[in-house]
Amino acid sequence: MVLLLQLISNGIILGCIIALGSIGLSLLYGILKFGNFAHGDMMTLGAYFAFLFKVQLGMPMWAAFVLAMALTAFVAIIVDQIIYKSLRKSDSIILLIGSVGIALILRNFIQLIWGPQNHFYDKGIQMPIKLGLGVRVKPNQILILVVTVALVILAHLFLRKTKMGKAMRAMSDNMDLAKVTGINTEQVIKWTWVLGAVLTAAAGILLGIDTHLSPSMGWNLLLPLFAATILGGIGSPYGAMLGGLVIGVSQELSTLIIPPTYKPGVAFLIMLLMLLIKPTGLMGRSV
Amino acid sequence: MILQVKDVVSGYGDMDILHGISIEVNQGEIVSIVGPNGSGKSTTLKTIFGLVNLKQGEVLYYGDSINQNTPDQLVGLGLSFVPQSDNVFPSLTVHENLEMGAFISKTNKKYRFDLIYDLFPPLKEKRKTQAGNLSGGQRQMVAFGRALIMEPELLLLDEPTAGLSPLYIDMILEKVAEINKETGVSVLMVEQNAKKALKMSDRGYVLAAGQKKYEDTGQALLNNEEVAQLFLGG
Amino acid sequence: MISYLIFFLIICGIYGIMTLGLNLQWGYTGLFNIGVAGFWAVGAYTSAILTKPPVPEHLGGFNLPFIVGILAAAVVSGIIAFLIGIPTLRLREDYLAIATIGIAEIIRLIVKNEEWLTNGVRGISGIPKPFHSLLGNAYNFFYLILVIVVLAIIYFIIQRGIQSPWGRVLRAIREDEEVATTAGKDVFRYRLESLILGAMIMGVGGAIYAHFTSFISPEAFKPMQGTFLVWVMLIIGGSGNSLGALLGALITWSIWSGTEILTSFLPSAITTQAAAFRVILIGVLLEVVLLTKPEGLLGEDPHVSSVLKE
Repeated sequence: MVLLLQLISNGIILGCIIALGSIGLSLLYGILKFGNFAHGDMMTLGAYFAFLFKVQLGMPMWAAFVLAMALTAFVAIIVDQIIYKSLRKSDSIILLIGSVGIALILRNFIQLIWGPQNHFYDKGIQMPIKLGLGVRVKPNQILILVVTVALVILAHLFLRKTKMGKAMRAMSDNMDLAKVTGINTEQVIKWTWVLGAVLTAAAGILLGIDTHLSPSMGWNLLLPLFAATILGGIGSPYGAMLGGLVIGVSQELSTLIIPPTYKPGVAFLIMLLMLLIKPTGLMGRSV
Repeated sequence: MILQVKDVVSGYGDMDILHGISIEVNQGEIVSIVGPNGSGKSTTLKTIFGLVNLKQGEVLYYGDSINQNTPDQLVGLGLSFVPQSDNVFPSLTVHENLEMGAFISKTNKKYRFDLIYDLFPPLKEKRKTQAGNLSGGQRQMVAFGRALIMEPELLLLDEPTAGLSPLYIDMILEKVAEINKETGVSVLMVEQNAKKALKMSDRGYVLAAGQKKYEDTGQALLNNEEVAQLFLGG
Repeated sequence: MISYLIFFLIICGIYGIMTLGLNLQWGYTGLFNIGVAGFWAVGAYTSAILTKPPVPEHLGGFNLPFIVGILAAAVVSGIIAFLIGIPTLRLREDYLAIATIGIAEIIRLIVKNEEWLTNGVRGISGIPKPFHSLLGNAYNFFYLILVIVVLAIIYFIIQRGIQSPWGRVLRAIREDEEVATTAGKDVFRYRLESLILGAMIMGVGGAIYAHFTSFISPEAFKPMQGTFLVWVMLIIGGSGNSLGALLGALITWSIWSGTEILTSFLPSAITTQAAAFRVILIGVLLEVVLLTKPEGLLGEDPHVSSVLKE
């Protein structure tokens, strides 16, 4: 019982990180109609930017967090303008191939600058806090939960209350109609990259806080990110949040029955089942 | 003259659909384009709005060429387009759909929305409902409202009654006439219900196989026996 | 120098086999498989396990002949493709892409963790090199001939297949699935066949790789080396063109190993950085090709288009 609760608690933390990453992935998928295979590596980039500001430049964590999100968004826009904007005219699968290339470029750029070894934001070891029923969490994990909830609420308000957020949902619904309606689609696409990059950078930083930084940290999460996106329904940011939590908790719970090394396989199996049973996802529209 | 389409050739890829079409809309007019399926009616509207590749000819709006303008620029100039199908954002609420129509406006002027809700009272009570959950007729109202919110000068309607029940067909067409009368917006409309459309139109065009066959006042076209026989089903 | 050239061409030929298999799947059928490394690994491990003398550490020791290993590699890869294809081939092409990445990852996890089968991260060594004792120094030259023969056979099979009615249906599906369906073609079956045949080719490539290096470990089948390079080769050469695929393999491998030679002169302290830089270079090359010449150097086989216009 204690083990079960502990696993669920760990799963929620992992789920938070996956959810943050997949909100942007899902929106980009819905609007640009392609799976961004560089999303995981954008996550890594965010984490390393925060490392740059916090550890290498000695800034406070909160400042490093914000600056890293901003810088990741900047990189995302640059990449979009140089690469994806021109590729948008062709088939969406070409965009996908392009994003695979970007993924490799980003990951190896990180390795070039920061080396292949692991990095930490903080060298100290945190004493776990005992919650009820024998469940232990590290203070950092509570921080992760709080930051995630705050960011999700902000993302929600952005999507519901701002013109740009509504336009994103509109474009995810129907790109052609958005164009004839007079929505400046290129501008909205830029903002979508900003939102996606900011959230995925945050996910990367939180993952780095929870464990450590490595050049492949985001790439290793790509499968769970896609699984959460498809589970929630492509283009549905709310579905992605739910999907993230489901994937996170299932991955942790799976260790009760299979060796932990096969955790990534669980995300994959859930995704495959979803695609077979209900390809539109839990909260997706019928296509 | 608000709109002038001059000798337009357009189509998809290598295939031409319009073979030199000329159409005019004067200020405050309702103009209908009728003709059999595949005659290029919808393509004409899409070409005007820059959605189909214009290969030859010119589209003039108040005498200026708009060939190179993007759809969002056209909306800014006062043109508005209601596509035939999938013309609302299903996951957005009615009110949000209207807001999207006003995307280019820097300010969210409340009176614009009041105007639309006055024009389509049923929308007011449904303003928080997702457009995807509305009936066909209500969706059409949302699409109209979205297109009218920037107070356009020229409204392009692509088969506004397609797929609607007979009851709604008359209501929507009456609404078009009412909007034209009250706001002064010029209307260029493609319609399957040719007789009903021509009856309410100042002028009309009959297209067939991508070419203009007849052009006259709405009433004259209705009375033209040749037109009636060939295109209006006797 | 000559010996390096032979070595270079052997690896190039093995990549050529992979690229031909991928071209069948993507270039001719439109199946987006980014799990090439998975099939590569399956082929390599299958043949290694079947042809090795017995060892206590892991399964194997069947001592079967080389040719049986190669054929078994093709069969096992084909079976895995069949199992993967059943649930995924009805999906949209981008879903298939995500699914294949997952499959490659799972295969890698299995290879890494199931020590009884694959000896885990320590890998399998001592994979027999056919006729090695007979040939001695000339061995690599013999192996190059072998690779070229295999490449030629595969090339011939693909060309024949593509020009047959079967190949015509494949391309019709790639161009317009709906039309092919309404024409009464069982789209799913044709796609499955293409996926299986492509995977079998990759399996053969994997086996040939294993017998050449004589040692395999999970490290060799990371996505970069195993999948991404093959994709870059195909895109650069021209998808939908078998000759283009081979040309792409030659060019890309030249750049990849050429930069390796250059960076080997750098001080050892920065070798990992240099390796990263080489990957970035290949990534940039891919983006440049996508932006400036998306059809690749040779473009699509003209024969393909003419068939479609009939």
